[in-house]
Amino acid sequence: MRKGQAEIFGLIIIVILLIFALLFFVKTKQSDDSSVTLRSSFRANNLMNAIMDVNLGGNGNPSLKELMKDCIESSSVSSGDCLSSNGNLTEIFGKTLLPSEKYEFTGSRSFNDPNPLINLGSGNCPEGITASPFYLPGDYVFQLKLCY
Amino acid sequence: MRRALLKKGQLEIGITMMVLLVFFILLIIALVVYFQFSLKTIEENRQEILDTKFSTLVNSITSLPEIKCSTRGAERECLDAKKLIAFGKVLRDNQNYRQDYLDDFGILGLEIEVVYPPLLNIQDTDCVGYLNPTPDNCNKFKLIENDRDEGLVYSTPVSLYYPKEGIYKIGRLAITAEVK
Repeated sequence: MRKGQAEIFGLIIIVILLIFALLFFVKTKQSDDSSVTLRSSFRANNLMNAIMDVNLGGNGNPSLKELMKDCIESSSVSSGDCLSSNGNLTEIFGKTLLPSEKYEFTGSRSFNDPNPLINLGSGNCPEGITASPFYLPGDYVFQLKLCY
Repeated sequence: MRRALLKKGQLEIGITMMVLLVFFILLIIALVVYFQFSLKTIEENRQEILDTKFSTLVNSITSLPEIKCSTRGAERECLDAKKLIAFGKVLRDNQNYRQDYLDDFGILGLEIEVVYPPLLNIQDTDCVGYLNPTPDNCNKFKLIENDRDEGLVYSTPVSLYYPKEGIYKIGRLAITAEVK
């Protein structure tokens, strides 16, 4: 092997090292996000409070909690109240959560109802932050879970 | 004889270089894998630090009596739109007050946007600078504008109360803060 060939080998090694360093830098740089999503119950509780208070506008300016209560009372997923409350809830989650964030929202007349009448979300949510359950007179209970 | 030795030496140098090359490649791969794991740990720590910092910050800001809803002194879990406008005007007219809040909370920007029910045909209309703000003609409360265009943004949903109309809307509180 000539001296020139050995130098070429050296150069190749340096180039490879530089490529790896560059790849590593790019990878590190990409993960530096400018916005953060908190894994905190505070956020889930805030959202739950906001949902329960909001007035929807229109005729009589009903609040969403009244609409959800009427939905559960009607005992039919296809009732007008349920369709309206589910539509509003889906829109609210779409506007307040990030597209990548998943959630589970349930509304029923008992805490551990296996088939809650209001049941929205992506389903598969083994881990997440749960907001404090919201109770309304008449044993109505609403629960929200933001998934990781 | 000498030429043969020279050739053998060159060959050994070549072999040594190849071994070194493979060694370096393996070393680099190992380092990348190691740093990936380290990076994951660092990101987890970063997330935990941010969770703590921003949770405290949001809790403090949303609990400010300057903007929090209250009825005869009893506080409620919402932000008062009237108070937000008044607070925003005070901060704009008095740069010293604004600076005090920036220093006390370590934030760079603070604004609340109305997200639900959506206002049709209204985008980025600042209620603080609006002459006659109502729930239907403006959708943003720019309390502290971020002049430096840097920092991390954290947003959380909040309940917004309009006392004159007696209605609630859903807003998004966005805080821009430095991570020190």
